[in-house]
Amino acid sequence: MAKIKVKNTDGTAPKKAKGMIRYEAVVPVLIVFALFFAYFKFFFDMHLRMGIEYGATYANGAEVNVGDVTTSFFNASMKISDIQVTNKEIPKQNIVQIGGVSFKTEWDGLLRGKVIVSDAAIDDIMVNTNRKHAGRVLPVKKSSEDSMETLKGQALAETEKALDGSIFGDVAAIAGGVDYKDQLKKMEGQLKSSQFIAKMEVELKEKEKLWKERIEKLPKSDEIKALEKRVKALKVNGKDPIAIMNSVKEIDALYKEIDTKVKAVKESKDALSADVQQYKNIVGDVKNFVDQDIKDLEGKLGIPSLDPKDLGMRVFGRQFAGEIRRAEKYMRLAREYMPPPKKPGAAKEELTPREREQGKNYKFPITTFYPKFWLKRAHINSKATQGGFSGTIAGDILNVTDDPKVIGKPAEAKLSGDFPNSDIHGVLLHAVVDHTTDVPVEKGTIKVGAFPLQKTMLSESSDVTFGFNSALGSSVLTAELKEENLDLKFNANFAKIDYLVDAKSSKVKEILTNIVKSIGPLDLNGSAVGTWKSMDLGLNTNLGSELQKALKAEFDNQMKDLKAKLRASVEEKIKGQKDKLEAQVKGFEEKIGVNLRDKDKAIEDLKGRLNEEKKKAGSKQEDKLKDGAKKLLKGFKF
Amino acid sequence: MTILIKQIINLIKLLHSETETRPIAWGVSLGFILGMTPAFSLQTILVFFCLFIFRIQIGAAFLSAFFFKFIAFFLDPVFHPIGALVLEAESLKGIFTTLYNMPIVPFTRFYNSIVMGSGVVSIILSPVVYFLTKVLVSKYRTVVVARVANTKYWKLFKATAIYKWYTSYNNLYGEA
Repeated sequence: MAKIKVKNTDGTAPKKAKGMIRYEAVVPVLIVFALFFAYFKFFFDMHLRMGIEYGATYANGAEVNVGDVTTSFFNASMKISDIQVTNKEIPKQNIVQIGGVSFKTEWDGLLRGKVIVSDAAIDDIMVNTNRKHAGRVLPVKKSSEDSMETLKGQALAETEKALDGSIFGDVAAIAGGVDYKDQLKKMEGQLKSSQFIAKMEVELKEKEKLWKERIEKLPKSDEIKALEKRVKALKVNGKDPIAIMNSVKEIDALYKEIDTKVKAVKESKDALSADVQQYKNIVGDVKNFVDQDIKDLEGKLGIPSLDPKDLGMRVFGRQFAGEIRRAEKYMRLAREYMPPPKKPGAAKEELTPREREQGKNYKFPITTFYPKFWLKRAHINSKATQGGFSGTIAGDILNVTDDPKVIGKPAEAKLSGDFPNSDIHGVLLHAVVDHTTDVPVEKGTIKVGAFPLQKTMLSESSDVTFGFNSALGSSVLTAELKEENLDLKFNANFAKIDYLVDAKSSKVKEILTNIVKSIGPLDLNGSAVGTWKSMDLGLNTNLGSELQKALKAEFDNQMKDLKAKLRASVEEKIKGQKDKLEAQVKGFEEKIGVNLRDKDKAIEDLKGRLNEEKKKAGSKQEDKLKDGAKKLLKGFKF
Repeated sequence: MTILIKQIINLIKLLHSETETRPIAWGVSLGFILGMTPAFSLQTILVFFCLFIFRIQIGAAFLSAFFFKFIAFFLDPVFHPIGALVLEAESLKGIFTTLYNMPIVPFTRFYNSIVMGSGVVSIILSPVVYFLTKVLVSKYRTVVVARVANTKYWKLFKATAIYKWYTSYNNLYGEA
């Protein structure tokens, strides 16, 4: 049978029906997928490495190199090897070098748009290692933020500066004899006691003026005399009951008038007594200002306090304040990267669609919820090598997240290790960053079992050189930072100390040499309590106690004599002013007080007399009423 | 842009050919779902995937999505109570809680009343749209196209440059 050819109306052959799947589109899609796969297989890791290097270099401000990056899509993991971070101060060195960082994320989290790192490892950390070639350092841009930070740290910088005057230099000055007269002359116009008295003199004059104006408003002697006349003129008619009643009314009205004036005078009298007492106290306060002036002079003359705590602070305070200032800088830097505490009631950030008209988002119970980022555990493992500052470190970093409230666990770091190359042993660190509550708390403890102390100069002036050539130390530091309030305590112990002592004055050298011979191991206890802006630093050391003993034995009488001379000189300087102020206060009390007292007495007398008249009138009225009643009873023949 | 023009030309061509009503009907039907969905979400990607893999008229889908997008805007007050009714159904709470806590699924934004309402309505009505489109296309071919082809205006139009451009474009790229 012959086949019949079907043709279209225009004579062309009909097209073959195509299948349901668009194969001509599937092939290009497959090719695109294959290209994607090839890119991720052969180029992605390289480009990611370059991206990390570029970003980290800009963040660090100096070249950062990454040896290799390996990613796995199916395992959702990444491994970064040989990270070298150039030290921007010394470009030929790495500030830190890390052998490898690897981590594995959970697909369950990724499919929810969250990064959950279940396990991470940081291996072979080294500090200050040499680089094969100098790292590129980016030009520094000074931002306004830096200036702000500089301002914030100014309080501690000032403390550091204030402690810069070496105690040993002061001892040398005392030993050489102090010429206080010159200093006193220089301070003549700046004595706080003198300035205070001058201020009080002006204030007292102003007060006197105000009091005169107030007394003017009180009843004058003419007014009091007029009132007296009115009191004298009062006569109670003993026969007519209506006249008696009118007299009583008149007495009452006058009594009220006088009473108002009495109250005004009384109030003024009480206020004056308070003012007088205040100025008498102020005269007493001059003594405090004198004490302050003497303290200032002692500071300027470098007369050391013989308080062991103060001495300890002056020996080690500069180093201590410097360390606190550095800690503040690092703390501020770290806080920039810490999640801010979420205030209660703040809107919870979540995936919400753009609502078209009145659409409503329904919330269902959350059974599985992750923060946006959560590093559950990172294991740190490092072995000491020959190069750089490396150590055998082991420990964990736990629960680092952008939203600690969700997981309800604080971030923690627990590390222990030894740095044999640097003779540092028994290092233990436990840090907790707790942002799970509305008030963030960061606390930590660092223990160092043994560490060598390199050459440290506590005083290096033309008069005295004092410090350590070497020593073996151990320390414990605990710190808690609650918002801006720091509470830091530390204890350090130094043994096998090789002291470095030299002084121009043989006496000072002898004192210091004797101290270091007798002192034994050096114990140092410090504390820093307060905010970064206002920090109360405390330092106690047995070196301070020893120094106190030695200074007391050697210079106690000399210093007592000097302090007495200083007090006498200051008091002499302000004597004239002080006497004048005392006389002014006395005069004020007398002038104003006498005037007020006279008025008070006169008006009180008037009030007394009026009271008597009132009583008389009352009794007469009573008698009259009794007589009237008797007559009335007789009339009724009772 | 070229793909879109090609697809629209294909749509016109298909409308005027004697076969292939299904791709147009599928396109309009999926475009209806796309248009009703309030924002870009996971189900939108799924629809795009179907459009790309299966032999569905993309031009018809886009035109239909464009058209239904405007209609959907006025239908939001209807979608909201329907979606709320579904989402508040006590019997479905368990399954919604599971879906809410599953990976990927929350990206569909099913927990929004308008997304749910428009989804339910568009899925239920898409077969209706499909069959309706098929009928309308057949009717268009038999009633409108045949009548227009015999008018002198159509014959005049066939002589214009636009028609010639369309013919030459069709000869070059028209084969879908």
